[in-house]
This record gives sequence, C-alpha cells and structure tokens, in this order.
Amino acid sequence: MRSTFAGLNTVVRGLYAQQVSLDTVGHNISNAGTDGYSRQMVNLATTNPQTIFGGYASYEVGTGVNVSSITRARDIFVDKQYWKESSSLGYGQTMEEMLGKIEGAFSEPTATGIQTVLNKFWTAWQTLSVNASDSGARTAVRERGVELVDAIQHSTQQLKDMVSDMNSVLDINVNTINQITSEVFSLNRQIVNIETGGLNHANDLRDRRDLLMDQLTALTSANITEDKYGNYSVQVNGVVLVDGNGVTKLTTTKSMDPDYGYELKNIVIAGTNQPITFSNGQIKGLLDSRDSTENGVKGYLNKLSTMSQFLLQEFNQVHRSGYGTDNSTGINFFGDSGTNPDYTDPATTIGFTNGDWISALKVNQDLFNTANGLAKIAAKTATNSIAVVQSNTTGGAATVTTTGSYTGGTSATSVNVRISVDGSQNVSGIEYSTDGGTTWSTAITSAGPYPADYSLTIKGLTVNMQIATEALNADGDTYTFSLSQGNNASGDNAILLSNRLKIDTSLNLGGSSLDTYYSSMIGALGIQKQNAARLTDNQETLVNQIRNWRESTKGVNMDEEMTNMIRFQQGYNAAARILTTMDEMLDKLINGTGTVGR
Amino acid sequence: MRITNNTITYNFLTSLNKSLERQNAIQEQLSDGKILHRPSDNPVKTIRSLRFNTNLAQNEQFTQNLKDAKSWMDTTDGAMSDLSSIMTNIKELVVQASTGSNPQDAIQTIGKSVDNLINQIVTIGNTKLGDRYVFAGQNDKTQPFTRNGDIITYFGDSSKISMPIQPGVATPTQDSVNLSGVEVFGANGNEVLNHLLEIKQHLDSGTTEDQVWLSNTGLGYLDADHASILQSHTELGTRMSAYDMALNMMEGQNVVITGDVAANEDLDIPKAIIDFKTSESIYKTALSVGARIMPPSLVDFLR
Repeated sequence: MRSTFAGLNTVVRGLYAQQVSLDTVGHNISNAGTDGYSRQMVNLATTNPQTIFGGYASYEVGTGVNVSSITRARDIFVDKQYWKESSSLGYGQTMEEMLGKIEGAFSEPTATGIQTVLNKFWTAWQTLSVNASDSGARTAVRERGVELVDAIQHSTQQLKDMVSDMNSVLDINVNTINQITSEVFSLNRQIVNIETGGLNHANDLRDRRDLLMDQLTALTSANITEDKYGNYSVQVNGVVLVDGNGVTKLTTTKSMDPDYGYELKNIVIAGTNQPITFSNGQIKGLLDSRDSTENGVKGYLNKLSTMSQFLLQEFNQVHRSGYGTDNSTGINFFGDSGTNPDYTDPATTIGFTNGDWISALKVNQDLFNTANGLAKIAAKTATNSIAVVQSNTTGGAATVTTTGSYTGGTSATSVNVRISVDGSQNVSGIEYSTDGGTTWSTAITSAGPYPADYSLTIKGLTVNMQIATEALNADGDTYTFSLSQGNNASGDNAILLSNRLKIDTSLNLGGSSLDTYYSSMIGALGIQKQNAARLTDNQETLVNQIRNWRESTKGVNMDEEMTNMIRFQQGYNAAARILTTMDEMLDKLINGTGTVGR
Repeated sequence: MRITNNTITYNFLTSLNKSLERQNAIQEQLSDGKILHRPSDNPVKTIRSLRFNTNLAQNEQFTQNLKDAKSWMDTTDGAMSDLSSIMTNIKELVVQASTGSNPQDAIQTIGKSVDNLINQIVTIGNTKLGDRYVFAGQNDKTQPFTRNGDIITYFGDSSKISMPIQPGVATPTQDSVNLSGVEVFGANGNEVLNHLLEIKQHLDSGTTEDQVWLSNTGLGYLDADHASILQSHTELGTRMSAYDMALNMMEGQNVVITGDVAANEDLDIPKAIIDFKTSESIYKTALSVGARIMPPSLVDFLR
C-alpha cells in the first residue's frame, strides 16, 4: 500500500529538478561570453522506484527525478590538440614579429638603406678617381665613409635594442608562467577536494584551469596530464612545473653575449639554477630570434660584423697600399689612427670577436685633421715619380722619389743636383741648388753605400735620389727636376678601392662582392620573414579550426539554451499543474468525503 | 557541426580582420605607388631592386665621369686649336722675316711679335679647367709653364690622367683624357718652346746670318713642331669621338635601367585601385552581414 502523499514527493522532486536545470540554463547564458567557459549540463536520473505489493503481484512505482550531476560539455582530446598547435602558433607569431623588426632595422629597399649608402660611397670614390686633386671630392669620400659607418652602426644598435626588448619580454613571460603554475596548483587542490568521492564536478574551477593551460601553451609547449585524483601535471621538456604536490618556479639569470657584450636573459629553475629548454611557443620564438645565427638577431649582427671586417681588412688593405697627395702610405681608411694597426695582421686582431669588428669600424680620425687629413686619402697607387733631366745623357740615370709634405706653397721648386765623381767614376759626393745653380748646398742628410741612395730635405720634402750606374758618370754631371705638392691627379687607387666595393670578391664574404653579400642577406631576410608569415598564417587557420571544433562541444548556443529554457519552464509548469491536481484530489478526499450527516 | 554564438563571432572577426589586412596592404602600396616596402613583400623583387638601383647609380656615375672627361678634352681641344693657329701665325712671320729684302729693324719688330706670341703659347700651356691645369700631367695643381726671360720651365710631368668609364681598372693608354706638356711641346715639356725662343733670338738679332738660319733651321723647326702638335691634336680628337660614342651608349643604357627599375617596383595603379575597391566592398559586405546576422536568435522571438 503506497503512501497517500507519495505523489507529492514525486512532484516536488520534479519541480526541483526543473528548477536546477533552469538555473543551469541561466548560468550558461550568463557565461556565454566568458573566456574558457564550457557549457554545463544537468544530468537527471530517475529516483529509485518504490515496490508496492499488490494483491496478485508487486509492482514498481516511480518516485520521480533526481539531479545526479552537473557536468561540463568538453572534449579533452580536442583540448590537447589545441594546446599543441597553439604552441606552434605562438612560436610562429613571435618569429614573424621579430623578423619584421629586423627588416625594420635595415629599412630596405629605401633611399636610406645601407645599399644606397654603399652606392653613394662607391660614387664618391669614382668621383675622386676622376678628380683626384680636388679636395671637394676628397671631403665627399670621407663624409660618405662616415655615412656608411653610421648606417652600419645604426642597424647594429637597433638590433641590440631588439635584444634588450626580447630580454624584458622573456622576464614577463617567466613571471606569467610562475603565476599560471601557482594558480594551477591551488586549483588542483580545490578540484581534488571538491571531487573527492567522485560525485561532484568542479566545473567552473576546471574551466579556469583549462583556460590557464590555453595561456601557458601559447608561451611554451607543455605536456599536460591529469592524475586519478584530478590534479593536472604540467611538464615542459621533462621538467615538472606543477602537479598535485607542488610548483617549480622559474626565474631568469643574466649572462653576457661573448661576441657583442649585450645582456642575455636565460631561463632557469629557481633555486637550482638548472637551465630549462623550450621547444616551442612564444618563449622558444623569442630565444630563437635572439640567438639563432641563421634567422636571429645574432645572425644579422654577425653579417654586419662580416661586412665591417671586410671594410677593415680588405678595403683598408687596398687603401694602405696607396698613396695620399702628401705621399703618405700605409694609412687606414677605416679604423684606428695613431699607430695605424694593420687589421690584416693577426697580431692586431687576435682575440677580436665579431662585435669588435663592428665597434672598430669608424673612419680613421687622422683623415679629419684639418691640416693634412684630406691629403692622406690614398687615391693613387704610386708615390711621386719625378721626371729627372740629366745634363750628360750618357751618365748614370737617376730616380727620385719624395716623402713628406711640400711646404713651398703652390709654386714648384726647381732643383739642380750636381755630382762629383772619383777616378773610377764612382759618385763621391753630391750637392744641390734650388736657385738655378747660384748657390750650392752640401747638406745631405744621409747617404747609403754605393749605389748611393742620397737623401736630401728640400722644403719639407725628403728627397731620395738614386743614381743608377757608375760607368759613364762624369764629374759635374747635373740632374734637374722640380718639386711641388705632388702628383695629385692620379686616381688609379681610387678606382681599385671602388672596385673593392662593387666588383672584387672576397673569401671573407663567402666568395661574393660586398654588394652581392649585402643584397643576398636582404633577400634571405625577406624569404625568412615571408616563410614565417606563411607558416603562421597556416597555423592560424589550423588553430581557428580546432577552436571551432572545441567551441562546437563546449560553446553556448542561445537557441539551444532558449529551447531548454522553454523545456524546463514547461516541465516546471506541468509539475506544478500535477501538484494542483493532487491538491484537488486531496481536497476532494479530505474536504469532500466523510461529510455524511453534516 | 554544432555552431555556437562564439563560433560565429570568432569566424566573423577572423575574416573581417583578414579583409582589413588585405585592404591595409593595398593602401600602403597605393600611398606611394611602390609595391616594395620591406624585403618580405617580395624577396626576389627586393634583390632585383637593390641590383637595379646599384646599376643605375653606376651608370649615372660613369656618365658623369664621361662628362667630366669630355669637358676636359673639350678644353684641351680648344687650347690645341689656338696653339695651332699661333704656330701658323709664327710661321707666316718667320717666312716674312726670312725673305732677303727686310731691313734689320723690320726683322726685330717681327721678333717682338713672335715674343708676344710665345707669351700667348705659355698662357695656353697654363690653360685651366676649374682649378686644374690641363697640360700639367698629373701635377695638375701646379702652374706648368713659367717664363723667365728666355728660359721657359715646365713643372708638370708626363703622366696620364685616366677617367674610368666602365667598371674595372683604368688603363692610361685607353682611358686617359689629357695631353701632357711633354706630348704637346716635346722633351722636357719645353723643346718646342726652346725652338721658338731660339727663333725669337735670331729675329731679335736680325742679321743676314740670322735670316739664313731662320729660313733653314728655323722654318724646319716650325714645320716639325707644328706637325707634332697636330699629331697630338689628332690623337685627342680620336679619343674624343670614342668618348662621345661611349656617352651615347651610357645614356641609352640609362633609359633601359630606369625602365627596369620602374617595371620591377612600380605599382600597377589601375589594378591596385580595382583590388582596393574589391576588398573595400568585401569588407563593407562583411560588416553589414555581420550586423544583420549576429544578433538574431531565439531570444529575439521569445516575448
């Protein structure tokens, strides 16, 4: 015999279940736009039936409905896929962004890029080769040199600035990881507490934890597993960052780049300082675009360094072999002044790092000397060879070379040299005159052994005079020649220098010319950036696709929620109606029966 | 697939952003008419752009070198013509002086004229282009000829000045633009002048013996010297025509390279504008579709 009021209980359970379901619909709608939210469902189950023993048999009477659980609509496999691919996306996006910044540091192809500056530098040398005696052309060469140095140094500085930006972003990323892992640890605790016994589901906490995983996997690839209690264990390349037992904090340490001396931030495990490697995600992207010698900042600094080394070693070498208008030679165009270090000499450059080449690149300060700087630009390949006229055409020919700066102004000085000869026709002494043979000077500063190499100093110039053969020298033979500011107009070394920039190949530059080296570097940069952009684009499409899949499980659909709302509202209404019916039945029973005789 | 409100929002935003990106790219190109703004826009075209612009700079420079060389040679040419006519003048005077009927003072007067003409020759020898002496060899900042009484000294040298008109090494025999004093005036740069001075001395003295010397040795000197001056002049003329041809070629090449540069990096503007309009209309459509499609759901119909 069943209880009279059993039906009331059944209906109350029904009302309650519809209410909870409606509440959940409300929760879903409220969170439709919440990041990481997954749709929740109320799982209803019939309660245990009551066995009624009737006259002939017993039968089961249903006792209503119960809320057995509220669960998330979620597909963990799609989540895992999302986490994996979002790491790759994070990597690609970072690479694309950083390569874009490197492109910015070179600003090609524009009128301000290094290529244009190189062309102007070359043009200046060509102009000098045509107008070697023109101090305007010399000034232009020097200033274009400064411009080239500035362009290279400017790009270098921009690349170095990028490194310090990257370092600070790495710091921020490490902090973010630490925040995520400590929050995951506390979420682990709460989830395990709530879910003990296996009936409750900590839906919203799990949503929050999965959202944190979305954020973490954009930064780095992580292996995420769930243990049987509900703890997430997060591993990055074998290092457990967080699990049910605790959190491994990360921190950064500083070190110095051995080549360029800029600061490097390295990510290590706090406490032990054990380094941790990253295989994907934004962090790996940052580290690669900072340290890679192929497509990272370091690689492009190395290329600028190679160009600087080329200018210091090979371009300088040609300049050193030439002569200035003051007949100075062995002067560097680029690099240090004073002791004139020969950059091709290993002794000078021993221990030179890649960075040293760039920092050594400057235009030789000596060329800025207002008195004789411009004269030191070596536009010609040979020192002054001076035409010598002999009085005795059968005598020993003489060659005259000069060094030093002529102090006689713009007019030339005519010099007569008269030799005296001993009995065996050896030159036994010389004297010279600068006034057409009126007065003779014997002030010979030095004389070598025969064949004599005489050295005289006339108006600031050191004149070296070599008299070639003895046989037909006659006593009193004179040699006449004139001294002046020098053979200014020869630009043959300027041609060689301009060839050095455009045509000559170099082993340092991988067998190409400076122009080719630079343009292929820019081409490679463009291709790397384009590649990164294309891969990122594809990856974005993939991640979007996966997000759509995920959304199709966990997302909130308003139509669906509204339908459910109607369903549960009507369910509630109907249950209430049953209650009314029962009420009427009971009313009939209680108030309408047993009224006989009243 | 089950579609949710967020799916629609994400996808809408993604495609809206793509359409904006495309529009931004075309806008950047339209703003300056160039299709290249960074190497990654088109790496191959970027390398070609760098190379073409280098070629252009090279061509312009060699054209400039050629023009410099030509103005040098034009100056030299003018001076040589003047020199030639002065030599003819002197010869006329000497022929006149060497005919037997001249009184001594008439010959001496001719000597004065020749003396002036020698001064003119020295002036021509000191011809300058800008601040460079064209007949001084490489010693071009020093005045090459000075006359001190009857001594004329040459302070230049016999070196060639080369002006490169193509990549590579300049070869003095091919690419030189100057005539040095030695080439024009013989050994030591003053042989011809010394001959003229000698003639002048004989004219100054003006005796019958001098007249005989003038008609024999003097006129011989003049003929030989004028011939050698003409020879250098002719040599210069040949080089000038070679440089003219080279200049024509360079200017032709300049047109070709400029065309290459333009073809490589200039934007096809009509096409870009059509692309721009297309992407603009796609963007607008996306926006209006978004505005219509996004909100309606069952919510709107439940009252």
